[in-house]
Amino acid sequence: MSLIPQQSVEFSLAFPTQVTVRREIHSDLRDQGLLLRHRQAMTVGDISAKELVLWSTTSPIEVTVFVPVGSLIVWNVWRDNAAMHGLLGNAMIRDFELPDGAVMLECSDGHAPRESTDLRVELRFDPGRAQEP
Amino acid sequence: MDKFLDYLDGDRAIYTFVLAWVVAGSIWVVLDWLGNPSRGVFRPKGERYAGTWRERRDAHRRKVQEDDAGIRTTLRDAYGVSSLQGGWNRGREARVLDSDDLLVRNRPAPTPRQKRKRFVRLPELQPQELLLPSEPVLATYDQSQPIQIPEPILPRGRWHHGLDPLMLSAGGASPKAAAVRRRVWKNHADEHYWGTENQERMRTGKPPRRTNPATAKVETASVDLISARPYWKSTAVDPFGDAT
Repeated sequence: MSLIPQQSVEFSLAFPTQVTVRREIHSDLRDQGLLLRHRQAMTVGDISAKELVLWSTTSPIEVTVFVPVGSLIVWNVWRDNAAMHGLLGNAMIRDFELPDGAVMLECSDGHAPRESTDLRVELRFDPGRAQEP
Repeated sequence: MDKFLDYLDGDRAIYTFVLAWVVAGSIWVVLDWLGNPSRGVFRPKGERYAGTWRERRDAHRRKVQEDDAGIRTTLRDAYGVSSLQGGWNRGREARVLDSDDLLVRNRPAPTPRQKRKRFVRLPELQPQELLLPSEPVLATYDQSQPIQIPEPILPRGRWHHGLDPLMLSAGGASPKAAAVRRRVWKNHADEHYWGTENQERMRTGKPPRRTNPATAKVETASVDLISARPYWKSTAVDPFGDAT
């Protein structure tokens, strides 16, 4: 678990990696989302973009993202007044490393206290199954 | 006598002469004041009031009110309002209108009457000019339903915290873009999810800021000037939906 309060988490990928994002719980008070940012385009199905957002209201529970080599930065976002917000106020991410190598992210949005969990996702990194889009 | 003439040597003669004239003038003023029975303010004969001092005071107050009403009536006839002061409103105008009518015109304010309808005799329609039964009717007036007068879309007046940021001025002028942004930030300053530092900025009308961890640059929030909503510029793509 990361003890340093952080609003984003960075993963350094030495190989093209297939990242499986599995959403475990999310708050119903407002739309919660996970934003993935990379210097190069990432691919989800037919969509390629340098910045992807997976909303709790639209995306399936499990999403597979193909991420190229480099630094992947992840932070949580939420929707207020029909606009996407993030990196504000009490927004915070706590990351846990699971025994099988996956990473669990517990995110709180800017409304709730930092200790609360508004979104919990599991990120599984699988370099061997990465495919070039 | 010689002693007196010796005493009047030099400047004393001048002082004594002046003092004698001052004393004589004072005596003359006192005698004139005692002998003149009319010691009040000069009033023409037409305005002199023969009565008790209470009646005279009431008459004076009424005269002042009539003078004020006369001035207001003149202003109203010239400019359409009874006062050129800024704090004058329609309610005060209506009250003053009634009182002025009683004072100046000495008759109650006329009750508003409906304008007399003037009927115009139209030429009778010929059968060929009548609407054909097959012609579609565009609308039907239903007397049971009151006519809804649409309210103005945007309020007018002096903006303060909590009101619509797109509110027009009292004169109907649209706010400038900078004013809209300032109003939006002040309205959203109470939402704690912006963070304490940003809330302090927003209370002064400044936009909130955040640091993008990917670029390490400080980003500033924007305002949609049509919907008056705050947002962050972002190129994020939702692969499963349109809205981000």
